[in-house]
Amino acid sequence: MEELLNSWEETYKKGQLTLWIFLSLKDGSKYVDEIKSFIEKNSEGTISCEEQSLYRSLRKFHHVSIVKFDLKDGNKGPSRKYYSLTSLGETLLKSFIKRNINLFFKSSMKNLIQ
Amino acid sequence: MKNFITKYLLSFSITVFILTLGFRILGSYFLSNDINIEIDENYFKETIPLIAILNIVYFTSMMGAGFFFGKKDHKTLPLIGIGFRYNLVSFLIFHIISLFWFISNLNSSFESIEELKYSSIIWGTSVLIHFYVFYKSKNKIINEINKEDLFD
Repeated sequence: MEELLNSWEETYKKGQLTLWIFLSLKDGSKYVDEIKSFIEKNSEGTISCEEQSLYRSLRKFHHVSIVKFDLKDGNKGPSRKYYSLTSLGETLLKSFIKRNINLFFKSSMKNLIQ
Repeated sequence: MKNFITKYLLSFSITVFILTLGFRILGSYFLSNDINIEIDENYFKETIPLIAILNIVYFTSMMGAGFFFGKKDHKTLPLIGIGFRYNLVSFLIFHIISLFWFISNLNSSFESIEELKYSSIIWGTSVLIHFYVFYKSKNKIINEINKEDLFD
């Protein structure tokens, strides 16, 4: 049973990172370390991510204008990139949640999940 | 074609510039002075013109530099048009330097500008093919990133 669950979770989590990045940025602008902590804390440790893969995703999102960043001074170190969602990113997240997440909050589905 | 020149493409361009300049200088020198390598084994005796070895070294160095910087560029941002950009930049640098070489009469008497015409046609065709492949993939991409890679 545990092996089956792990296998399913492994596949399921692969597509989750984008949603978690977007949720962390909806919560407010963050630099990469903060995004990582947000995801690990709020997913209760079920989603873990390497900083490198976060940077890679953020660069792609920035390239297609769904994420922007501001440079702000870091603690004693070099300035940090604080990422946030653009208006296109916010609309995209809203549409994604409406089409894919809200389904689970219908009473019929809620009963099945519980 | 946003962010056409990345830091890796710039490094690649500088590498191509140095390699091409070296290739033209050494090539003209080897041809003018008819420099060859003689291999003399017991059963085997051969004279290889150094220009042939230079051509192979130049070609492999250009390809190697392209793969090295291109791979780094792709790791930073997986853009579909990277290969086309690298091919176009190396094509332009090679032909601008070579044209300058011939116009300034720095070439050896054994080098003809005709060869440059042939290389521009052959290489130019490969650049056009690269562009065509890039253009054909436009339905699969958003801002040059493959739709399947964007949210992976």
